[in-house]
Amino acid sequence: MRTLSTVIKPHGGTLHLLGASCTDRRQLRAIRSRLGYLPQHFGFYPRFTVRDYVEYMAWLREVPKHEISAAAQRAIDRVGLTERAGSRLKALSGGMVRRAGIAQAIVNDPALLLLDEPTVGLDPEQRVEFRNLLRELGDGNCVVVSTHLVEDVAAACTNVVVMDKGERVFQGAPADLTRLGESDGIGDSPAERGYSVLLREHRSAA
Amino acid sequence: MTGPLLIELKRSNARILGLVVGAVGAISLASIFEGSRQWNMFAYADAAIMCVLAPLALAGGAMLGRREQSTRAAELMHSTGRPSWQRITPAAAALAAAVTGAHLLLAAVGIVLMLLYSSYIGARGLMSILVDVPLLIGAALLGIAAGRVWPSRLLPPLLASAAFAIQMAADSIPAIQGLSLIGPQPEADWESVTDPVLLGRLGFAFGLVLGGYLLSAGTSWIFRAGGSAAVAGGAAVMLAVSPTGSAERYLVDADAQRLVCADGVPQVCVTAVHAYLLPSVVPQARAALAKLAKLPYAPTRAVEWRPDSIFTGDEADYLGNQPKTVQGTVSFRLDLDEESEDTDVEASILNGAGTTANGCTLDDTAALWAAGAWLTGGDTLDITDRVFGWQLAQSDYQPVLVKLRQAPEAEQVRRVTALRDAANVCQTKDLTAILTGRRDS
Repeated sequence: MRTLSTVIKPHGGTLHLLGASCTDRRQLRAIRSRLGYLPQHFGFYPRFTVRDYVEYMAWLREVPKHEISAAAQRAIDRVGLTERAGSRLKALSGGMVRRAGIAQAIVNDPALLLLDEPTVGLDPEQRVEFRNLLRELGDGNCVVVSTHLVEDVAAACTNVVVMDKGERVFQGAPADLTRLGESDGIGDSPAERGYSVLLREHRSAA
Repeated sequence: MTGPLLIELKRSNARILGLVVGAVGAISLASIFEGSRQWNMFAYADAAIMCVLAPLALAGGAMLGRREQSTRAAELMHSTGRPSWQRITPAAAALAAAVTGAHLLLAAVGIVLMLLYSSYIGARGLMSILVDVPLLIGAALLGIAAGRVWPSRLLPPLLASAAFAIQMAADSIPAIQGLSLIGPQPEADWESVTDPVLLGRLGFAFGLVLGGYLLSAGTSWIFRAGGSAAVAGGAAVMLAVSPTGSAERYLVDADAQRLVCADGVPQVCVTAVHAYLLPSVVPQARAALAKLAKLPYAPTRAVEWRPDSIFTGDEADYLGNQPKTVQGTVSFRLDLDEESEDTDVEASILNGAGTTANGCTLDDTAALWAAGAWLTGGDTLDITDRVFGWQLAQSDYQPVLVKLRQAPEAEQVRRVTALRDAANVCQTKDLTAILTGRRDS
């Protein structure tokens, strides 16, 4: 995810995002302006309010100056933090901070939104809300979610890639993953069982 | 960029740094300035407190510089489109605005106090204050760069302590004295800093600003090398250009020495830096002129003495064997006490019958004091001399005075006149002989 977000350079091979090469420094800025990213460890400036932070990130993501305020408000509204827009980030709960993180990631209406473990630290209710948001975001954008919570994938994603130690194990629809777990595997849900079956088969083949 | 700048001003440590710089600056300034009413002294004090304020700005910058790493926000920031130099600019600008605002506010308060209680504000002093604005900004930027490289909690206090220690060392080690932001203070109220002092500080300041910015914003080794070179270059310029001795650091500010005269006669004039003293000086000077009128060809005008060289603490800077007198005019020196007042103007003019500020080396002080006491009509002449430290007890000159008064009245006048005339051509050896009649003039 850090490579996809262009924070680190690819160790090898080529990486094209949004039709441009990430290893070409001249194209990097244009790519980044169309990216939205929520890192696994979402770092924020605790003294900033939600609005400050989202507006600041909008400026960093090169949203045109005259659109920053409206774009920030829209993003804050979408993640349901309208009432807490004036609160300092350090005063928010973990779930709210996560939502603020999503708000900053979508403030520039990114063509590609990268969410790294977005549901870590959320309670079950917040996770359900987040899935709804994810579905909504996916309507108009390409959203890549990295997660260990298979239920989130089954509930909100249209395509799933299973990776093991940097290798692609599976790529297909969530329904295909679920189907694999209908009669085999370990786990509490078909999706979890399908995931475990995939990993077991991949590792035994290796 | 206005939006992010305003956010940084509100949410970063910029405002706190501004408050700290302002508060510490005010306390430091007050402790050095000590209620003086002199603009050049204020400008010196304002420059000297940079040895404290610059380390504070450095520490404040370091606190901001380590923010990205300490909050783990660096990864997110690096994923955005803005280049590094743009990302750093709002925070850097906020700190720059805060330290500039604090420093200029201190200067503004000083200027208002000078306008209210002093009588002179000069351009060189103002330049000296303004030159330190980029110095503070540069220190803050350099702090940001340091904080980004080593985002430790210990860095800000360590950096401030190290910078302060370097300043203390620079002030006392001759080889690096050119780097000192403190330097010797002016010895006279009309002394202003010279161009090399201003240029040295300006060179250092711009080195810090350029170096600090390149080191903060640069992502490649070229920028980092360029930034380091700029800081080193600025320090080298200051070291090379800044003079360390008073004689080269200060010059006589002609505007500060411009004469300002009171209305009425006899005319009494003082320098512009002391014009606020006219109400207290004029009655004393006129009283002295009235007493000097006992002597023939007495002066009818009193003017504050103005040297054409700076004072380094050596009497020879001011006194020699060439008299600097103007016909009909008596010169007097203003020796200001801690309240910036001079309460013994009359006595100091009468001392030596009006000759002690004529530019001559005065050797026989007992005779001078005796002549002054004789003119007062009393037995004592109380003078506190803060420049040369001349101080005589009554017992030192009493025998001369007694001997003088033993002569007939007309002879007494003749002898004091003779002393005056001899002193005014720098014949100052054994003036006692003139007063006691052992030698005719």
